[in-house]
Amino acid sequence: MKQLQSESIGKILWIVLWVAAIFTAVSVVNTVIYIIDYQLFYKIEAFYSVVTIFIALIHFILFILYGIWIYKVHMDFKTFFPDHPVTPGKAVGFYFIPFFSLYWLFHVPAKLSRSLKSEAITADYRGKFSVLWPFGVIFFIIDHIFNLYFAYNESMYISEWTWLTADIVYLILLILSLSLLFAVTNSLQLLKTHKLETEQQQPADDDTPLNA
Amino acid sequence: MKSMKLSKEIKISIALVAVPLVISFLLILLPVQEEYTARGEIAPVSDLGINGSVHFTYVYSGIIENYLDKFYVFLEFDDVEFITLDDDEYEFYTEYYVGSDAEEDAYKEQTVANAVHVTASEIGEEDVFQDKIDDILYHSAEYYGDSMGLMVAIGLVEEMNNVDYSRHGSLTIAGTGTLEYDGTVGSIGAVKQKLFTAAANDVDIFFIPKDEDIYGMYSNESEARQVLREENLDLNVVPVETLDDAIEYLENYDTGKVLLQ
Repeated sequence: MKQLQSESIGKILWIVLWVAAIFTAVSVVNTVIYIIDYQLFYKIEAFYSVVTIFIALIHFILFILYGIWIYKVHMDFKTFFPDHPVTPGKAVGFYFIPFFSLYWLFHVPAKLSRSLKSEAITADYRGKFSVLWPFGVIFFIIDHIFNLYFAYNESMYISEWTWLTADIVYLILLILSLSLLFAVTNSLQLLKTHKLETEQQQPADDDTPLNA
Repeated sequence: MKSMKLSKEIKISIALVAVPLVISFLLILLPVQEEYTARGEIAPVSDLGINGSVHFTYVYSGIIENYLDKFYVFLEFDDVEFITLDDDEYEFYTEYYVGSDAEEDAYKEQTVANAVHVTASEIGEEDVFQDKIDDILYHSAEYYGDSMGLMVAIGLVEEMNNVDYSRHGSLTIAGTGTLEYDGTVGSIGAVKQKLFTAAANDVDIFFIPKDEDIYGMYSNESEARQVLREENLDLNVVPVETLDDAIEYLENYDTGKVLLQ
């Protein structure tokens, strides 16, 4: 095994998540400026619009990257944990089933956490992952509710505090996503290293001459 | 000198970030100078505090300064039309839509004042002019522009003479047109969208300015005829030159005497 299936996409997702988090932090600052000093905000309104549109567009890119990453991660999990109950196809495909996807949001990370638990070398990252993933899912749902509210709000007026809260929720979601990605990626790296070491030891044992 | 070599993943990440960033910049910073008009609604003159049965017609309009605005407008409204503006027109419309409220109100105030004057003078109530004008302006705060003048005047005629041209609501009467001090009906903008609005609301009688003799092919009348033909709208459009023409049409509608078609 030279490289993990999810290694390249994991690096790309890591970079794009960081960029999204930085822009979202900028958006939070912009919204705070809007609340406390509208005259100043008026001067940077075009910049604020660029940031807002960029975040909306990068959001879709992140969804696609996440879909590819979760597929590849499950390929790796199947390599290290043949009994892992979720196949790569199901891991991605079931997110597209209405209502069932809500259950799947909880199911996929719960099973990843359980598989990581079965290996002693991933104990550190497994602990972090087990603690963080429920928060990640909850913040994802809250962010989704905010998006639905903005999309279907009939009134022309949305409170600046609502915007600020939505920005902060999204920023927290991105930071949680980075932490979860870090935990899974490093766990897989440890497993890969361990497997390589085991494979290298194996031929040496086989070469041992037999005493007749 | 050692050259820095970027990994495959970094190159892909840069591309994935650059594409939405460029799109965002183009959507916001690429200047657009357009006016939009979109299908609106008809509203009863009773909303303006007038005891009448007829409706005035409003459409949604504004200026567009970038492609993001254009995208939002496209998503938000039905039957939207975009008109490219040159620099002078853009400056004028910017003033009109977002600049001076005083100037914006001046058009509306003038047409409402004319409507009150023309109708009140018929029954000699000159002393209540300003109160009536203020009352209508107060109730019409959410609308701008002067194209409600004709319908405000017809509503005032109903109110002052205690008549109901809608025949107890069996007819939906709407229209558009400014009103001059002498009772002449003046030309308006966005005829196409106003005709769409009327058609969508099953209007039975729709008044427009009769202005072909003055403006020829650029008149509201000519444009309306073209829209009716091209869009195949089933709408009874009645061009009128004066308020009296509109009143005469409404009073003779039942008798089958169609005077102004």
